[in-house]
Amino acid sequence: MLTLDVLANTGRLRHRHAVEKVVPALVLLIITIARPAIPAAPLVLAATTFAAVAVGRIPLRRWLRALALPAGFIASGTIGIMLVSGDGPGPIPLTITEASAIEAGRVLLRSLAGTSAVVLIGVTTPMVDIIVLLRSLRVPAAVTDLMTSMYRLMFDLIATGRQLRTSQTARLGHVGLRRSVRSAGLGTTAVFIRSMHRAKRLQIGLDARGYDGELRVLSNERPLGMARLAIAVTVAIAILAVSLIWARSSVG
Amino acid sequence: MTSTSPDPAGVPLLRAVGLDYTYPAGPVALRGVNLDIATGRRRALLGANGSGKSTLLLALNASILADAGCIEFQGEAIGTSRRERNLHRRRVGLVLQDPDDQLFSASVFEDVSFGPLNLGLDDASARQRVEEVLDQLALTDLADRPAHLLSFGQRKRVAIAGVAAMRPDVMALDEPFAGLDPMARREVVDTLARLEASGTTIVLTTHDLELAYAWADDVTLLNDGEVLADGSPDAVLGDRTVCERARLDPPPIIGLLEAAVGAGWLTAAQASEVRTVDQLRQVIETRSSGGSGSNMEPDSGGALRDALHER
Ligand SMILES: Nc1ncnc2c1ncn2[C@@H]1O[C@H](COP(=O)(O)OP(=O)(O)O)[C@@H](O)[C@H]1O
Ligand SMILES: [Mg+2]
Repeated sequence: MLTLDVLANTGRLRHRHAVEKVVPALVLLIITIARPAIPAAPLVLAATTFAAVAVGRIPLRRWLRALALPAGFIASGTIGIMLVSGDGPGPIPLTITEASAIEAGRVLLRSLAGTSAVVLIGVTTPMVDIIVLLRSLRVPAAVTDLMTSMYRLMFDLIATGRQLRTSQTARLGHVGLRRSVRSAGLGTTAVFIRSMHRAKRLQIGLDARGYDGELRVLSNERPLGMARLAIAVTVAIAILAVSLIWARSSVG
Repeated sequence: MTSTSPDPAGVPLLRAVGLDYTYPAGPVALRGVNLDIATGRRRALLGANGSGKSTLLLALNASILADAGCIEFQGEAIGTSRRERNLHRRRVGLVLQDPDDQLFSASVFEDVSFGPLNLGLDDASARQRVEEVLDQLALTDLADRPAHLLSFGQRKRVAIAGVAAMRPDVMALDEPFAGLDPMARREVVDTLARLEASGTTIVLTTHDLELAYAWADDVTLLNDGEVLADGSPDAVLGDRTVCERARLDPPPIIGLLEAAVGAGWLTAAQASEVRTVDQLRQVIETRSSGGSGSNMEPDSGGALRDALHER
């Protein structure tokens, strides 16, 4: 989350209109879900990587690292698909067949491709712009206000939590499991109490600026680049076309 | 610095009359506080931790209601109704000590637009107002940034901009210099000067007496919720016993100036123009390089003035 946030707010595409990034990525996501894994998934994966690394100039290593965490979850999930009941070499009656391995590979590819489309939004589009986009789609103010405050307070909590943990560690609060658990509990309580106090002061600050129950703000306007959007969507549609042609030729 | 005020005689811009305040289930924070803030004069509220500085600012902006006494704006007492207090807050802006208590929005631009929109400006005028203020306070480069990717000093300046965008007559700032490195502190001082240039009167709290001595026209010394002294920085901070009672160390510059006058390096009149150790050093350097044999004579003219006005 933090890595995504930093990349999105410092990357080359940060000033682009959110629609230019979100729409093509969503089209890719839909293609991944709707079409068979081969050939769509590898093509989508290639397209998102190209968009992030070549267009967005995100270093390949950081892009791969951003994908690594969800990839880890996906990989552990596919183990279950790979193993089928049968006489295996070990004491447990589980085995891997050729079909199960292929199926697991398909699921893996597909999940990775879908994830990469979502991560692509994450690394190119600042949260601010996503909230602005939601507002312009007439998502209720209660939802966008909540997202705004959560986004702002999350970093605050993370920073406070980190400092507390450092100071606990410096006083040997994390030596051994028992003490770690106890310190973590105390730390969580402290962070919670601090947020309550902060919320109170936040209210004073908001009231001083005329808060009346709705967080009305203006967004920095960004022009929508229709040409860029068209190119990106065309690439996505080309992938869909390849997938459709592939399906026909393998049937015929 | 020594600007005279355009206020009509006897009617300061903002005034506190006999304020008492006790926090619910807490200590007495203000005891009979009187305070006058004149248009265009820099006012610093001084005092040790817990002396009531922040509470006084909250009362000045009607964020808290005093138990006794009242706040007057241009001679008119502020009522206790929500409407009157909100109206008052448009004229007296409040900048909290910790910018993280104030910045709520995801980006700088959005955050600064919050106040102007609440004033009822339409989108176009609010946008123009935000752009003006960001430009005025040299923050335009940060407009797109989310607050958590700014330095502490930048967040302080953005918090100031968020209030300045409402164009209040008075800005009340709680500890605007606390926790800043010297460079960031200069930037905040500069930010305040830019606000003054557009006609805003500034009142701030600080426990940095050195800085208060250099910055303020008038100072108020608080101790345990009471006003101990009120007057010019020289009169208040030059009084050792008062500073001791307030549990504060007088700024070193005062002792240095006394010594310089005592040694005959400066006349009292010249000393009254020197506000910082840096200025004093420059004066001494100018004198020791300028006049060869006359080092022990008070400088009668040019060198001191030149040294001061170089800054
Ligand atoms: N929210 C609060 N609740 C209870 N007591 C408070 C609160 N804020 C401040 N106080 C108390 O009021 C007194 C004055 O505090 P404050 O105005 O914050 O002083 P200063 O800003 O000079 O450090 C102190 O004794 C402080 O402990
Ligand atoms: Mg305080």
